[in-house]
Amino acid sequence: MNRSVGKLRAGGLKVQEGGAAVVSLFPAGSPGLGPTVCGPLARQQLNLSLLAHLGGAEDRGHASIFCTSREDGPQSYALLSTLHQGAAAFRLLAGTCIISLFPHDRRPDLMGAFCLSLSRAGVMLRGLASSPAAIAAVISLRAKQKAIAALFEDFEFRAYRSPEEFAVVLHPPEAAVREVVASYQEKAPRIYTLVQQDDLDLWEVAVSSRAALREVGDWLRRLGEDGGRLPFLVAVPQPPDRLRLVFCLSDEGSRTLLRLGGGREAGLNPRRRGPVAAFFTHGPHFGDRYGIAQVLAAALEEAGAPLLALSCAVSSLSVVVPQSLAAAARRALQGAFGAPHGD
Amino acid sequence: MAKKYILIVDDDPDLVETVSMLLESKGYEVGKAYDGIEGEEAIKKRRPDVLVLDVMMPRKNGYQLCKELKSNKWTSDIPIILLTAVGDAVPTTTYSHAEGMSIEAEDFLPKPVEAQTLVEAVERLL
Repeated sequence: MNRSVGKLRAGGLKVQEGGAAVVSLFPAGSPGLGPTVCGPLARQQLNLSLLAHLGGAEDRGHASIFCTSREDGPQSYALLSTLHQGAAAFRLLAGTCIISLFPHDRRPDLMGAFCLSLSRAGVMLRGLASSPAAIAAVISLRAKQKAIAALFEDFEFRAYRSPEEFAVVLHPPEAAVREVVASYQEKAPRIYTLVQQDDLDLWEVAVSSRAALREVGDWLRRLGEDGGRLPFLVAVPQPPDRLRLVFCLSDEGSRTLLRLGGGREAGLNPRRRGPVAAFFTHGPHFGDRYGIAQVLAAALEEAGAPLLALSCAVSSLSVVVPQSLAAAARRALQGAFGAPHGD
Repeated sequence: MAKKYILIVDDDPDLVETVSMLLESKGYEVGKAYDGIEGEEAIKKRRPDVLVLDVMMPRKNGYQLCKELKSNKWTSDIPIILLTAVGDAVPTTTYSHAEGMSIEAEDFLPKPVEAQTLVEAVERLL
């Protein structure tokens, strides 16, 4: 992406409408993501279109937000609420949509500009996920139009010059949909590329939900001014009114962050854990079939590699584990999804 | 020596990004475009040493762009790898193998494709 006539140039936008989201919060010491959330959903064949997860720590449990179709949202909420009655907190967000911008090129300033656009539009952020190419925000469906309008004020897209042109792409004629849209009928979920980044730091900050987009956007933009790279970013709700933002930085990126005051001047007080390893996959076409997150969570659990953070968005999985367990996690991913050729 | 320039045109941004990461780690320069028209514009700006072209894309599909490039004397010798998601894995598409077989691309790879397989195909054409 390049700056062009005051706007940032981007590859494109994706909007997934007609969805619902469920937020889960488990207390410290609870079983992990697989047995508590992904397993029950997979057994009921409930498909997820996005999942952002922050693993538990000594002083707090794990938290997630996942998206489904509008119809599957209430069913997912009822299933998990009944299963974990009193042992965890859940919240159903009906009428959501996912807006994704690509490519982010791992540039925090671009991710920051995305957040600031949505903030200026008065959009409340429900959750945030990232894929190797895209940053994806979960917002209310009612806020969709103003969010798109704000993004067109700040970004320039080669394939569509206005929200009106984008609307045609978003709702194409049926014949065009038949031509271009295809779903992969894989016999087993597979990954086609596995990229590993070692020796990263995992940072975590809590911000108020209402101010999240502005605070985080502004801060990411400053972080990006020094040319740092941010390969992983998720945000999960922390009831009642906060969001936990989790991201990875290289050692150099962490030094930049600390030089900027570590976010303390913005009242963010980030917490650092490391070193960690991050894995980025292409495939297994997350969203096209149910149970992928469960395969991933179960494989890592069996390998004894705790899931520190996870982002499933677009057609990819991004996984963060302790560096000391990276080799075990890699073998688990390869075993669960088939090792890409050459691995 | 100037780095070899590979242009990837595919409407799946995660495929473009992960393959780019792999190619860049091997010392290539990578251009990215997300539909046929963007790909065409990118080629006008800079001629790629190899073009990786998806078939199923909005606005202009890979078959159309490949035909146009191969019938233009200025671009006919750009090596093209077509990514053809028209096999058993994608029964819903209206694209056909027959259409693909009439195209003069240098190589065809079925989608979903492993990045390493794609990189090896690129290196065979350099």
